[in-house]
Amino acid sequence: MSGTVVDATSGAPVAGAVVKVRLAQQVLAEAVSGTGGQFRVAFETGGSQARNLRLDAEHSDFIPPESRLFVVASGRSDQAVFDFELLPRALSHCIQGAGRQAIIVGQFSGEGDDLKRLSSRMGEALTYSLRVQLQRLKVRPELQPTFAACWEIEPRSIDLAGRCARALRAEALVFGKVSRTANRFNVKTFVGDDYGLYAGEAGILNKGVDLVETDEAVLDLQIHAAILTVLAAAYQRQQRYGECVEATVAAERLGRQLTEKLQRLRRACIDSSGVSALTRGGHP
Amino acid sequence: MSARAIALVWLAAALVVVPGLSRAGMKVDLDEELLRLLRGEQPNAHIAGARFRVAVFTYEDPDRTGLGNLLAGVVAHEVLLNSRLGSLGVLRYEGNLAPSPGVPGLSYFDKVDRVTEAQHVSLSVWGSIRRLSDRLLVETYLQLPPDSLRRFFTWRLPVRAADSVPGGVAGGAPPVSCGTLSAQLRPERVAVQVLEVPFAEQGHLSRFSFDLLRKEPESRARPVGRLRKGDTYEVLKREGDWAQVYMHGVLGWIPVRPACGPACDQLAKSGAFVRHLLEFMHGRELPSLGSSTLHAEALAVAEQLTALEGLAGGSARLEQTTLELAGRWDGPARLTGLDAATGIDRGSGPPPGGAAFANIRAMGRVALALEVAAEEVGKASAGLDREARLAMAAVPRTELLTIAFDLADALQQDPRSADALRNLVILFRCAGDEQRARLAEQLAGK
Repeated sequence: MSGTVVDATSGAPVAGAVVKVRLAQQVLAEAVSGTGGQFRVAFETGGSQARNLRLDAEHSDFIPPESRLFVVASGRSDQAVFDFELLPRALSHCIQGAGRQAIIVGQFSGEGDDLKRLSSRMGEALTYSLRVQLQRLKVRPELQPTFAACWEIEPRSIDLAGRCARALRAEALVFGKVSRTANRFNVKTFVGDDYGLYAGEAGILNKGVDLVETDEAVLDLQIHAAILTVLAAAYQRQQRYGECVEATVAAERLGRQLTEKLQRLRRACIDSSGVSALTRGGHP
Repeated sequence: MSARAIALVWLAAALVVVPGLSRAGMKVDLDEELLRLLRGEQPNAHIAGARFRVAVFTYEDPDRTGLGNLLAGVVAHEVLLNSRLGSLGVLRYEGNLAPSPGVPGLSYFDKVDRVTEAQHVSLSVWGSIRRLSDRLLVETYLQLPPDSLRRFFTWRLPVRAADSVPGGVAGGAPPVSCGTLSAQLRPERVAVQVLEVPFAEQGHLSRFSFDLLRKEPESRARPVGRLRKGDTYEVLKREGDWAQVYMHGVLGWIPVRPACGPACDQLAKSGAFVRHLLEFMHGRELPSLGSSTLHAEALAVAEQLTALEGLAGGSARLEQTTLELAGRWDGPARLTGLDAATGIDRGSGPPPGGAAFANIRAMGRVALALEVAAEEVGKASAGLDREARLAMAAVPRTELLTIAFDLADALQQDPRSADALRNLVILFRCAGDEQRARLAEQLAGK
């Protein structure tokens, strides 16, 4: 069997990862990933009886991912290609607890005096405005998002940011790029999410941000609206359809527009909420 | 007799001879009180003798402008010193509403809820100040606790259904009572005002203090004391723009109207709105906003109060007030943009309170149908007074079904509206659509 091993945060190939095929605790075969992250591992399938095997990828710089299970019967595996996304050990503190809507604020890379502080500052700003919005709608505390500053994460694209968010058990990863203009900075902010809502979209530009006094840095309300849209998708996944609709309402208010994404999400959540069955044409 | 002794006598008269006739303020340490609550302790009620008590919290200041307490002071003073209520306590909580390690799991509205529930205050106010590129953004929120909503802001309407004609006097089964519709003021967390202040005013604001007691009602008079956390100060009298207060043996004067510039004047309108709500709670006096810089939600609250008070006002008031006001926010005639009377932007998206206005409209239509039916009853049975006629009146089931379907349409934009769902249970059941009534019941239960 074959596959690739990549860094979940950057998508970069991981060379030197040891991939092992296991039957219970016994290692049947192992291989090491090459410079492109590819691996190929061969092993004896052991007769016609079906056996449950496990594939692990290990690298000292990365957190071991969950084992991948597969079944071999009559000399054939039910899956032949496996791709591993490994999280760097340096990011272990960024992994979020399960069952909580977490948003990670990653690195704002480029020029600037205190980019680490900027990430934390953005986290604070988001905590304030989004949590207040959701609390106003009486979204229950356990459904309110947490914001974790994790300035070490520097995704190369929005798509990768979405993958990274998933790997870190977060709903979204906010990150950005900073460039200097005269005595201030332009900050372009991106949202990568676990739902692909913002995949391929251009970032949102904040012009003239004061990064010397990072406390003065503020995020455009469109970013806040984008995160609320992601949260609406999270509520939809959890079958919290009422909260989903309200998050779309809050996003519309903050962003001052009803985007197509929002409209679609709202419609889907209303349809799933059961209230449409109460209408004239509905079927209770 | 010295001035201080006279004041003490006055105070004693206010507090003892006429119990409850007094106004007082107090500064309270928020973090200390929250920690006590988290330890399971129940703090004493502050200014416990006041009939109405309001909590005003330090405005959240994530951009560290240093103005959070000042802004809370403007609103607190406006409420306390300009109120017409005889018995009022204003608790000014100083501390941080942001998430903090010492108070895990609580922040902002949730912290406010925790404190105000323990204190049983009538309502709470807090807000935030944010720094934008060239200006400051000051937002003010008002929170109505469940107890206040239940006592002062709930309206009920018993429904009787008939098979066919108004009054149910011809054919079919006799009219039956089939439940009581209800509405509460929504939202209960209200954005009162969003104020933009030129950045240049920050310096001016930061020099102002509400806490200084002066010997005379004059801004250059000698300071004689300072309002401190934990001390109660009684308002003794007003003289022009100053109020005389008494605190722990000290008599002094504090300014009534904040002289901290146009931003404070505007912010005081938030305090005035709070006063209007308190006056409604006290004597059902409807708020009049005039020309205002308040938020659309404040306008929606004011219009909801007027609309809901109209429910018991007879046919003309139902048509001209309740249904007309509900229609401004809900349905095809929903008004958008700047309101002609107040200058407040009504916005264009879903109305404040979600399905609240649709719910009011449904209740208004049922109330109007009952009035029409009552007239029919009156024709058939002369000599009955209005109350008796209304008690016998009933709404045709077909009409109730139409009203229910219209409310269900509005619910599509606000599927969590418990008020609307509860009323739909009653309306569908009264109309004979048990299947939908059960579904609404199920959804309301969620």
